[in-house]
Amino acid sequence: MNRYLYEKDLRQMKLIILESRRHDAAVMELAATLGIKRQQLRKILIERSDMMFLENLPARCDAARETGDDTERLLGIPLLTQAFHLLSREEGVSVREQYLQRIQSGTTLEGALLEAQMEILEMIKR
Amino acid sequence: MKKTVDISLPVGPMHPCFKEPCRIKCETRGEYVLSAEVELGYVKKGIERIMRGRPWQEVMFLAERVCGICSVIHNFVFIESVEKISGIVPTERAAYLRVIVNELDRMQSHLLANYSYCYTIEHETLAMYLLNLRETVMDQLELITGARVTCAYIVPGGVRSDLRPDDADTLRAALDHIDAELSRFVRIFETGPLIALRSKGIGILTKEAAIESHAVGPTARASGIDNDQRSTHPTYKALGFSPIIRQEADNYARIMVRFEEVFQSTGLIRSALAAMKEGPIRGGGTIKAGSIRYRGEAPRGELLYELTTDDYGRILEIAIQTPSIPNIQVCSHAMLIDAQSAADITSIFISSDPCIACTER
Amino acid sequence: MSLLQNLKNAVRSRSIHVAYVNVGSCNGCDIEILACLSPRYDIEQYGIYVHNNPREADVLLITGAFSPQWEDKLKPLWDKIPHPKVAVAIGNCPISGCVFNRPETLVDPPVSKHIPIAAEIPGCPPRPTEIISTILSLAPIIFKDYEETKK
Ligand code: SF4
Repeated sequence: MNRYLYEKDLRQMKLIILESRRHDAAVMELAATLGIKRQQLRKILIERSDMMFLENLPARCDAARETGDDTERLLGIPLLTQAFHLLSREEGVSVREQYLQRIQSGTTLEGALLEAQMEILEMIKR
Repeated sequence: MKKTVDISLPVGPMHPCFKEPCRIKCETRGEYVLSAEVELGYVKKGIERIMRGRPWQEVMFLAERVCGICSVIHNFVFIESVEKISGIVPTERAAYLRVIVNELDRMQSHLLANYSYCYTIEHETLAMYLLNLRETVMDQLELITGARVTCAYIVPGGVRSDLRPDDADTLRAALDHIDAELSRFVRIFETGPLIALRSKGIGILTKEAAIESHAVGPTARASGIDNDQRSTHPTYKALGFSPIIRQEADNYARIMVRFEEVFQSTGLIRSALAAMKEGPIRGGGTIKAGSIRYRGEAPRGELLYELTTDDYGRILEIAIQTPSIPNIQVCSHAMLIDAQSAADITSIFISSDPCIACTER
Repeated sequence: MSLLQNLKNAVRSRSIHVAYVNVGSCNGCDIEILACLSPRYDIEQYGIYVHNNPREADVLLITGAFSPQWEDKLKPLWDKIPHPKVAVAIGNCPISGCVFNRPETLVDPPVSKHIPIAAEIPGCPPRPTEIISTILSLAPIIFKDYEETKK
């Protein structure tokens, strides 16, 4: 039987990376904007990203925070598309447009925000 | 028809070209690199976890051992952030001495980085020249601080030992020697046809990718980003520092930026030696409670310390963001993609001057 | 002692192949090994070649305290090195864990728990000259009359 040389379960080590202080702050921030628990977001990140990417999360967040307008920041789109790479850029744009449309068609701000969060979560889980 | 097979090509953790263990897994089609993934954890020591709750006197030595190649800058940034919290100002002579030691450290680090690059592209002669020149720098570091690698030279309020006048003369002579020798080596590097073939136009890092991943240091400056923390540091400002920026964004530019910075460092040391006046090298002070986010420029780029102290001088919380983290990330996820041959993987990776020890801490 | 053994002794003492492995160091010791390569110390004049390829090495230099990723990797690496072989621990890290051996740490020193270590060079980091002299004084002792003593 072929056994892969040197392949190891990396989840534990990825978790150690995410536990350090600045990484934890970045994950907490995005979890709050998405309205999910920190553990859920950690799980998604551990499944999706390699170790180098996880190490670099705080620096990427610093860079991403400088972009985007107020609406995008409220929805956390710069973080999602640029820093965490969980959504593609087109998806980010479409989420923003739908959010603005809902507000125009009379939904309350909170309602629209909730719907946008649901939509983002759908997209991430896909 | 010939069928192209996608294979996953692992490089490392032990590889003749790498100084340090890490593992790059490249998805390739033929020799063309489609994507790369870096696997770490080989040197994870958990330094930030050890540091928590310890007095600064201990953390100072731990901070120095985050990275052995650029140990002086970790010492420098940690002490300066503790000083900033407690309002201690170093004496003037000490501030200049710090710059001198820091620049010597930068020189040896850049020479080492360029050595590994030349070694990776199989130009061993030039590599050995550079490694030998590095010993001259190491001698000067040892002369001033008393140790080659982990010297713990900088203490709150000043530095540990003074520069004697005859040592200053030795240092000046060594700087002249370095300038003369290095300009010869740089000419070899600039005009060598083999080097140009294996460096120019390879490993392009676009400005957008660099900004998105927050690339720092020579890697970013070779892509035309003006990012150097030394330009905001008061002592460097007094010495008239201005960063070196190139636009080519390939392997060649990154190596050339490092060469030019070595020349710049010799210039900075000379002007620091000229500006230095006699005076005390150590002030006093007590460490107070507070928290800070402080940046300094390591040889590889911007180094960030985020720490909280208490009244007893203990470090309660600490987070270190070293320059290699964004650089290796951008290297593996932007520069390695579209590499035309598997032989370029190592040379592109080394050109970003990766330091795994400080990436993982 | 056979003629062949004499010949082997003579050849082995002038041709030592070295590989180094970093199992969680701070890089300080690694760059001191690299410094040995420089023309100043010129490790090759003693017939020592640094290949960093375990399959053709005689001497394995180990730096660093032991980090968890190496648990299943150092032993296979050691097994890959052909006999006669010897491992040298460089720096305080593989001996005691140096500053990293504190509560909450991830490392697991000493390295001698995992593979047999023949010599230790303390120092944080040791000087290049110390590294070279250790290899030079150790190698003849280990490799002398290897085939005859093995029986
Ligand atoms: S012994 Fe000291 S210099 Fe060597 S790897 Fe350990 S901490 Fe670094």
